[in-house]
Amino acid sequence: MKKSFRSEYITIVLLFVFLLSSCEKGFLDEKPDQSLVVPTTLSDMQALLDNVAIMNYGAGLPILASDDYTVSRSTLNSFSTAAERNAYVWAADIHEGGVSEDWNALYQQIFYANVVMDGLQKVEVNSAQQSEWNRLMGSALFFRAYAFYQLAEEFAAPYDASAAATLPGIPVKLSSDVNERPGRGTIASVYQSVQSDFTKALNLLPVRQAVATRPGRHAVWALLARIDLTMQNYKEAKRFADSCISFSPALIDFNTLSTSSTRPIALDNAETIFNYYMIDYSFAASASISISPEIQSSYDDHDLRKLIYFRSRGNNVFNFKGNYTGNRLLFTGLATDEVYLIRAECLARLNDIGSAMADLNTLMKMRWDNKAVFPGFSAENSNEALQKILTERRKELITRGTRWSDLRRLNQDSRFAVTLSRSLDNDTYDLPPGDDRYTFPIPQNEINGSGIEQNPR
Amino acid sequence: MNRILFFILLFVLPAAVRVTAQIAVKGRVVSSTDNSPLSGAAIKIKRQSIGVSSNADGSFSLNVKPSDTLIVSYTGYHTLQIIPLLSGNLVVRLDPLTTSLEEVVVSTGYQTLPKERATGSFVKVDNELLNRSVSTGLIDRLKDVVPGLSFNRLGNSTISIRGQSTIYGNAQPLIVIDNFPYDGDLLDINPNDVESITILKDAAAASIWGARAGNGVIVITTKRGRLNTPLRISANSNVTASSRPDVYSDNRLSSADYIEIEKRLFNEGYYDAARASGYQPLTPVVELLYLKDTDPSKAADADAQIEALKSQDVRKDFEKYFYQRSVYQQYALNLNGGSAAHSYYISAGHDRNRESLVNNGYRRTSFSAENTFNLFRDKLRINTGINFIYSRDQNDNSGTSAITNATAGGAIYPYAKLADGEGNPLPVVKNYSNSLIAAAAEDGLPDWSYSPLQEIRIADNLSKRKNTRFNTGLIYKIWNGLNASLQYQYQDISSTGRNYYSEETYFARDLINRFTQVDGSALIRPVPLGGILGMAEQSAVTNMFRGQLDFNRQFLTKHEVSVIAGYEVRETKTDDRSYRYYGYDAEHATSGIVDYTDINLPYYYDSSRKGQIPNMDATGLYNDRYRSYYANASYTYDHRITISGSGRIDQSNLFGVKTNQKGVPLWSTGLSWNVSNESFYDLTFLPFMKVRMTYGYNGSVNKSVSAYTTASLTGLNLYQLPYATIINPPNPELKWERVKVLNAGIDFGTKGERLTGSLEYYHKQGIDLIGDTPFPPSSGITLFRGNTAGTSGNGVDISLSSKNTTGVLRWNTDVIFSHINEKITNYKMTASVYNYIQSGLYVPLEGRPLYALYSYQWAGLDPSSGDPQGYLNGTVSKDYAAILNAVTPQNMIFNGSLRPTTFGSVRNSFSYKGLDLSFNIVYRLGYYYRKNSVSYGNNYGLSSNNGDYTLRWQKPGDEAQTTVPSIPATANNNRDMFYRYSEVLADKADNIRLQDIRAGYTLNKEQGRKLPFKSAEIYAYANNIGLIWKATRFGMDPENQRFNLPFTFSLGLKLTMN
Repeated sequence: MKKSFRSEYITIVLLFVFLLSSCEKGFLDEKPDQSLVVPTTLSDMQALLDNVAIMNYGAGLPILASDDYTVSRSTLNSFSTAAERNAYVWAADIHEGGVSEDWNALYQQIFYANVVMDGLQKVEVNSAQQSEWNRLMGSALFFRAYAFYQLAEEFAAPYDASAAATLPGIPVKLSSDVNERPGRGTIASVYQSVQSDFTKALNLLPVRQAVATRPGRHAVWALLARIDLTMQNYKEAKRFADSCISFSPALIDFNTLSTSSTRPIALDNAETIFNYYMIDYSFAASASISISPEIQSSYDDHDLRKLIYFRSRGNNVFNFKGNYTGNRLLFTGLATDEVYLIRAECLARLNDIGSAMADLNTLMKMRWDNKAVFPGFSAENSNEALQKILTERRKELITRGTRWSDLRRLNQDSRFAVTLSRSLDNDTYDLPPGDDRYTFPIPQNEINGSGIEQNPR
Repeated sequence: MNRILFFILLFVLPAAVRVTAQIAVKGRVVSSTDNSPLSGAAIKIKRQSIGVSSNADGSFSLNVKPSDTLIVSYTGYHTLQIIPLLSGNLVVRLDPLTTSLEEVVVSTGYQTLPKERATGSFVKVDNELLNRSVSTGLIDRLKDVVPGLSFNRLGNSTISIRGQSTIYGNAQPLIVIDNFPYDGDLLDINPNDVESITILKDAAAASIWGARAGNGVIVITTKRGRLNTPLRISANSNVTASSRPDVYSDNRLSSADYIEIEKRLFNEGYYDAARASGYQPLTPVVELLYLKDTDPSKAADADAQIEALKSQDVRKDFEKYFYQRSVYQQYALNLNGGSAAHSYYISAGHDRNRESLVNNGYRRTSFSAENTFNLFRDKLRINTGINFIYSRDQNDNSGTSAITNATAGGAIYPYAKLADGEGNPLPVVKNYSNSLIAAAAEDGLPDWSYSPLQEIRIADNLSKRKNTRFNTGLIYKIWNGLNASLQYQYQDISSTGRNYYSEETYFARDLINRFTQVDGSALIRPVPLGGILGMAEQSAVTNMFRGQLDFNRQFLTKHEVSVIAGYEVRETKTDDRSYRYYGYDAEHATSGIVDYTDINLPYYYDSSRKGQIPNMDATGLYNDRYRSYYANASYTYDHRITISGSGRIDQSNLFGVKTNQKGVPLWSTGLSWNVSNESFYDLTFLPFMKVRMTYGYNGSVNKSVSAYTTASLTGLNLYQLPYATIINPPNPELKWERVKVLNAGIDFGTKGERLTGSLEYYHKQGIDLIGDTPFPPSSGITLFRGNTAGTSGNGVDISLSSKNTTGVLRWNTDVIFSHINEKITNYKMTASVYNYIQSGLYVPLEGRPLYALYSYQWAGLDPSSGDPQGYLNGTVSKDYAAILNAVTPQNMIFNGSLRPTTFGSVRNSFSYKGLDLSFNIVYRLGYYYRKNSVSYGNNYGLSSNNGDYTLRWQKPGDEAQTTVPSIPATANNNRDMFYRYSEVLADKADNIRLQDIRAGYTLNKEQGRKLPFKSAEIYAYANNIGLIWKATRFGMDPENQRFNLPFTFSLGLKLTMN
């Protein structure tokens, strides 16, 4: 009796043990919905980085706040967001408690880049996939660093080596954990992070990628040149511009473009290094927004940009049509014309006037009507060279998103400092050099959520 | 083993010894019905802690003082108090309880336990109450008979038990059939196979179901055969007919008003653009007006025709051709019985419903067989069950709201004529002008006209479903009171929807014609001629397994211990497929080929407009897996105090590894005290009183979020490269939603059980609920959906049963009362006012119930213009845009809950000899609704087609009689919106209605008649009888704005043969 009980008991226990162990570890790892993509493979990562609508659209309000455009009161009122209306007149409160599309979009890019980078860390690759892995890691680093740079130029004070280590920067978020709150840090720490990302990217990326919405090494050089220019490290900027031009020297001969076309410059033209757009703000779609007349009238009659860049709408309204995008979206990416101008400026500042003017002439010859004689630009001294190069820089790079940074940088030098001014009906607005309003306010929802410090305005 | 017993004895002995002897009393406890011995009955001396329990033959002996009173109690029987005679053998006859609380055995799906020992909130609906009402579906029979259980008219669950403690999660209570969760359609349960239903409401009752118990649990127990019972055959059949739906209760514009508006719009040139297009439809009146215009000679004739149309009412045709009396037939037969070692229950059922919409019908056939075998001297019990349901739902008639008209902006014009005098279908104007239809015919296209009546006659939309359940279980008695069981269930639900649009249907002709291109004399047809066949197939296969140990034992008469512990796994694989065939030839079952990729197919009627052939192909594959460990224990001391505890750990593939690893258990604990069994208890008028209290956590499931970063492949970017969008940020902290429940209750019964009842108070708190919260954008997201929200609710459930008269005429009254207060307590995301007031979504707002009615503050009609007025910064205003903009979630009007906050019923039952009569009055109070009204839009209210138009303000002074604004001078959408969502249209929905009446007559063989059957009952049941009282000032049923629920009447016969 006792024996039979024991054997029964053992049978039951064995049954339980069998049942418990039969459910192997993988039982709960099954996806609840087969269509869910949990990004784990290299192609998943590529697909995230190829989301152009998120990864390749960046800051826009600094373009409106700089001196590229002139807007009438009625046109201003037609802009759909308060932020656009306020940015143009440098109002103390830009977002009126609402969101900042620039801030949101750039941090979303950083988030995607972080998701990709965190994901790549977990992907096990064989040697055949290593270059693919490197390319994706380099791309993500590039996107993240470019977004940080734009954020710093909009929401942190202008870079000044003497103050960068003390002034607040912008949150440098380096992981995909949405609960992490890094705080603002300092401007110096933002730039260090950006330069470190780019340095890593240089070792990972090929010179070029299959399409121009993906960054190649030449894009890293171009952007490093731009950033070192912002930091006023002219020697470094020249070095990166050299590297870039040595791989991507091509310029568009404007004589080959149709001056009558409404979209004369195609997407993926010879100059494009990296495709990137301004967020589609309503101001860019307005037909009554005009390029500032003083710029529009500053082009020589033989300068083809006058015809390629502008379309008259009558009433002294000139729309810009020289986008490197083939459509109405504003191009805020990277192109060789800018790199020539960076190198020219750096050379002039480093007192190599001959080389500086040579670079300027290389570019300008391509902009000049070949039916007229190209006069050539020359300068007696560094100052004159610089004046001429900066003038052409402003004329070449309208609406490209570089002007705001240039104003912040050049205003630190009394030779080039300007006071911006708007007049709307009977109201006038001024933005003197070094004004606090050269730094945009942090949107309120960010401050509410992460408690970071607001900028003085 | 002996050692274990020794330890247990050591624990319980001290409480049981210490007996002082005076007089020895010997006796037996037996059942009064058949004198069978009652083993384990408790015999104790009143006001002392002394007691014994009866032996297997019912005998007992005990020493008492001459003055002592004995209290004899046994589960399921009336407690008896006797003064023992001092000599001879005492025979104590206990009467079984018939309709009282104590006999009730409740089932949790893991165990059954006598309600006497329960600490939690259980409500049992017995077979008699379930069969009081007549319905196709089982769950409908719980309506108005269970305190705290409500049927919802809006929101994301059809049933709620004590409100809703989740926001975005699954809010439906868990349904359990035969011990396993059931996720199929509730119609796939034959009510005639159900023995009883237990509703688990609080943490102690439900927490054994862990993560799925947060919304309460409904445990369905099906019928079984009984051992040692001869074959019994029962049959039940009934037929239910309804009144015709009242189409006239739909408040629409009259034909005369409609035509007046059309004339006015015509004069303003409203239709000119549509007419110029050549293809846009114009209603018959507008066509006549243009005819008048272009050919003045026909003016008189046209006017006469228009005048005639004013008396035409399309609702007459709706009533005649689209609606009918519904007729539901139900047949059920079952055989059950058992030998010494085997019992069985076999049943078959058939339902055949003709719906109130002509040509729609539902049929269900069910079969089930349950067998139980007791083997090895009852040591092993094996049960097997198979249950098969086949249903077919013909849905050819989509109802009258599907008859639309493109010009009138929605509903069909009220003077449409759907059939001629002989009932032949007539075409009405739908999407295209008559001239386009004529031109298409000229080009050789199939006829493009639309006859609604013809459509319902040729439609063929049939869904079929097969639901197969197979289960088997083994219970092995290991030791006295210790059982081990293994249970397995397999369920396969396969459904097929087949919607065949033959070539004759408007749907097929329209798609063919729309894309047809005329190329000279040739016709190019991207959608080929022929029918269109839409298919939807779904299969859901569930495998469930459970292993469990049960221990139930009474020690030394006073100590009862009940413990269960187990493990279960469950997997449901769902495979969804839907597809469509174009150019389908039903006779040869062949189909054509179409090009879905061309997104620029020009339309026949306007080649500048392009479209794409709808691609209805879709597939989905889902896999839900759960793994759980659970245990439950209770200890009862001397039928007086019970303590219980329950815990469960759930794991699922819905969540990340971290949640599963942490394995936070959902648990509960409870205490009950049968005060009336205490020796000090002396309330003779209240011989039964029990208080109980429980506390614990249940969980609920939200499948909309994932712990992993998830992305979806969205499309191709400008370089034709696939790109992905992140839809869910990583959330490693994701966890189960939890509901914390506190329940306190008191059960009582007066002498003779004249009045019995229970009263419960509960407090529920939803914690870690999935909700949205704003995030700083620098985190990468602006909105985070995670465990961030909370809700709280508290309420009372009361049920009372009163035996008003006993004897030949018995009159019982059953009252249930529920009151609930609910609100969102933690929700950081605020939306724009539009979302709360106008969107029709139930957007959570902190401090308010989830289902809440909000509106704009109303300041009356402007006496000079009839314009609606609101408030802007405290002053009366008509600047509608500014009013709508100035309203914030803080200052909008909160009218109240959209769901009843107080509800219940009063049921009176009479019986006299074999005759039964009962009626149920139900009440739903403390909630609000919004009345529909006119929106003028840009066509004087033609599109909204609401009969309030006739009540509109027309001249100064009207504002005393009406709140319907005047027609605005210029179209003003903000003005319309302000009025439609202002507080003037929000009103109390409180109502009391006579829900149903049932009458039955039962004949029993016991009554001495020579009957060919054991018993027979003939019954009649009337449902949806009518409103008794309503609070609303509007002359309408607040719960049925469009069509009143039809009155139904059923007749049935139930036979039992032995």
